[in-house]
Amino acid sequence: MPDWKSSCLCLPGFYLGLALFTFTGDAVAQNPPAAADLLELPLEELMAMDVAVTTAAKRPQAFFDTPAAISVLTAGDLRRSGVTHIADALRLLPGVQVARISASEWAVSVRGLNGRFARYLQVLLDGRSLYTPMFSGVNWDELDLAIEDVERIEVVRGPGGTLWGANAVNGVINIVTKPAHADGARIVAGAGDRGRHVLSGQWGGQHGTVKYRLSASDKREPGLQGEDSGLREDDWRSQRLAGRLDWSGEGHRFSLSLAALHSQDSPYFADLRPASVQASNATALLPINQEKQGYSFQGTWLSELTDVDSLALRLSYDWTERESDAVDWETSNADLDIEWRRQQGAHDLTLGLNSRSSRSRAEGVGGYPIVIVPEQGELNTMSFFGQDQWRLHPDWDLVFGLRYDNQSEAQDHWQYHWRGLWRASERQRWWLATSRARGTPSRIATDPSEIGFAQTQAEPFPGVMVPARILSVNQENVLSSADLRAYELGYRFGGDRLTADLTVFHHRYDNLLAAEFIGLRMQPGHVDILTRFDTLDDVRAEGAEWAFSWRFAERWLLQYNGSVINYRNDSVDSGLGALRASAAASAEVPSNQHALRLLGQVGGVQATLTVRRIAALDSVDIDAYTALDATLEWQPVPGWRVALIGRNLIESDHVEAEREAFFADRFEVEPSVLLRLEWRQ
Amino acid sequence: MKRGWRLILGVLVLSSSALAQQPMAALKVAYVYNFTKFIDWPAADSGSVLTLCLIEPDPELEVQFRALDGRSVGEARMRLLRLSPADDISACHVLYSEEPLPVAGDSGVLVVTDQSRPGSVINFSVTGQKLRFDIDRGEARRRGLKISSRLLRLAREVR
Repeated sequence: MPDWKSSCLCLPGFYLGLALFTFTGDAVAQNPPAAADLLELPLEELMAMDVAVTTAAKRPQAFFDTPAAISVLTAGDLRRSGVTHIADALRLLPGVQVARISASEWAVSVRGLNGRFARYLQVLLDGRSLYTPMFSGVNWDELDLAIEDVERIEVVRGPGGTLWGANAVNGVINIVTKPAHADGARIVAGAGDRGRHVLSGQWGGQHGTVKYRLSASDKREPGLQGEDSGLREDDWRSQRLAGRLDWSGEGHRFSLSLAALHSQDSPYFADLRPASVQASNATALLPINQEKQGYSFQGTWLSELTDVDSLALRLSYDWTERESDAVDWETSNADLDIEWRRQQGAHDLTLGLNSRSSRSRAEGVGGYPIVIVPEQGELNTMSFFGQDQWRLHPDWDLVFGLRYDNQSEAQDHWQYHWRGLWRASERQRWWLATSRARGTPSRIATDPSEIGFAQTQAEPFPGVMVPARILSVNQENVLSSADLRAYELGYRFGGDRLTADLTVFHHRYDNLLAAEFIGLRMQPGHVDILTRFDTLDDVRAEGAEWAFSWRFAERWLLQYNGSVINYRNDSVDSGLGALRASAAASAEVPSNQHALRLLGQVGGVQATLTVRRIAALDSVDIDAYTALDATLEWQPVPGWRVALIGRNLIESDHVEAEREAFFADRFEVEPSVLLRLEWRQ
Repeated sequence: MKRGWRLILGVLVLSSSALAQQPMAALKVAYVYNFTKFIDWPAADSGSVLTLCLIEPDPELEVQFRALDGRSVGEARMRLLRLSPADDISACHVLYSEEPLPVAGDSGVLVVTDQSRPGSVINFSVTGQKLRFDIDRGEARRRGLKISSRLLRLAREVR
């Protein structure tokens, strides 16, 4: 159990929503009543009331008026996309880089610095921060929710650290599940090629003022095949059980959720055990047979103190254990968040503190070179933050936010943002932001460690080639976390048939984690190439992101989004060594990506077609690819829905990414089909 | 006033985007509830349940609409159904959709939309800061719906 005296408070999820809300002006100022309060009023009286939005734009006003690069996927988008995992759904959003590594592993990032162990994104599930204290990134396989349980996914590109927590360097992904009462009973069953299946059920209802929901899901995802080795991974199986209770009373609201997960997969790792390294000249593959289990608990309490003040509290705890033939690790996080808010006049002020206490343990299995000392370690963070949104003028908003993070294993730091919004006309918005965001410390960067991450060959003496492995050996704490200064400019247009959203950005990073060569260590039968963590400064990225939506006919909608990004690192160019360069390159993302989506309805059939074009990754020699996803959905009888889903249909097999550590082979993403049945009461 | 917690709850449990729409959403729900009092459905269709369907509603809008779930209108009790655009709407008495897609011509369905479009009987419009609505009498007749003259008088435009 967490030690609350030293635990930290983190409420990142909270803030995403909060900030979005905060950025909207009118609704706040007019103190809107809820529908229930209005129902008994006669129509004449209702017609005399002012509506609290100044435009008739149908798109969610808050997004339109938010001075940040933000986009959202709704439950409808998710269902139409036909995806079975959240990571694949994120491909539909502009500027989000998603690449599949194996059946159960993804590299997901925003604005670059991607990888299996990417660590510059704040990912939240109903406000609970999901990054692991081991490497500050997210294990996407642990986030295997039934897609039907998700209400929406909001993505903020660019720094959001001031409001959303220490890890929101490159962006924030906020996954919001449906409230307890959203659906009654529901069953979804789907089957496809190679034994692929999805199965989920939900039962919800209401008892007095308490609303409840129980849901369960089971999935089987076929393993992928290695490009060189021809080896096929075992299938990935995963199960999840979740429950939620929502209760509301006068001026209070309470929500409690519990979830448990279990999953089995077997990605291939490079076999870095000494005996295997000595025995082979090429990289030996080890199927690591992973078994994962975990649970999470969360309680939120919301209270209205006065007409203008409100208080929110969130408490969560999660525990995850991963056991495999290469490494066993176990992590737990305890979070507490408190937030006070006052909305008065032209100001909307938020003050809060959050605390996160993480414990983690990792050890190599059967001689696999993973050692972190001490085996069981702890990281604590306590943060204080504040933000004011000020409506200077009906057409101008100014937002300033500041955050201070006190960390047990790294230097304390400050984060800030300034944002401005100009309502240039009813249909147009301009926004500008400058911010500084910091990464969060992780066990691999703060504690002494020795971790093997690749197999290769070395030439310790001229003409003598011997098997080798590359190890990262660290004695010292990398005290300073990633540091980003960002400048962003955005424009939005919201017409009746056409909408546009454009963003340009400039990012400058310091203290990015990289590796430098420190020497060779002779071993019986092989050589260890030793590296240690180093930090890269002055890494710059520039880019643009765009999204257009055009309703060209009554039943048809065409969407196009894309992004370009260009990374520059002067210190790599100045010749600090191949290893450093490769460390930076391993975080490379495609220089451009595009997604074109056509949605329409023909008779009773709803059709969705998506074409994605992703540029090549030159540093790791991955080709550009084009993928076509298609979903056809219809309703044979009321209450039932049938969907036929095809994904990755154009290109036969393609590689999207290679794991930057423990690399064994590259695995090919194949065309897939799924027939999905849904029953809903 | 309940503003504070509702807003923050939205932040935590729903999402913020919808929050700014809240007053608009609440007003629309109250309008729709009022509309039902001024409409006569075809006799064959009048039962003890009045089914109100939403097509892929925005979450906040759905929360607001839930205020109607179980509420009585005359002798009927309202029931809320959430649909996707491809679903069958014949069981609906009222259908509300924000999406400007056309709606099937099923009779007995009061189609309420945000903008005037084929198939809609009532469409909302915002004039100045006020929420207004237009009524398409021809469409109402085609769907076998009788609209009281009191509601027609309140409409901004009757086609």
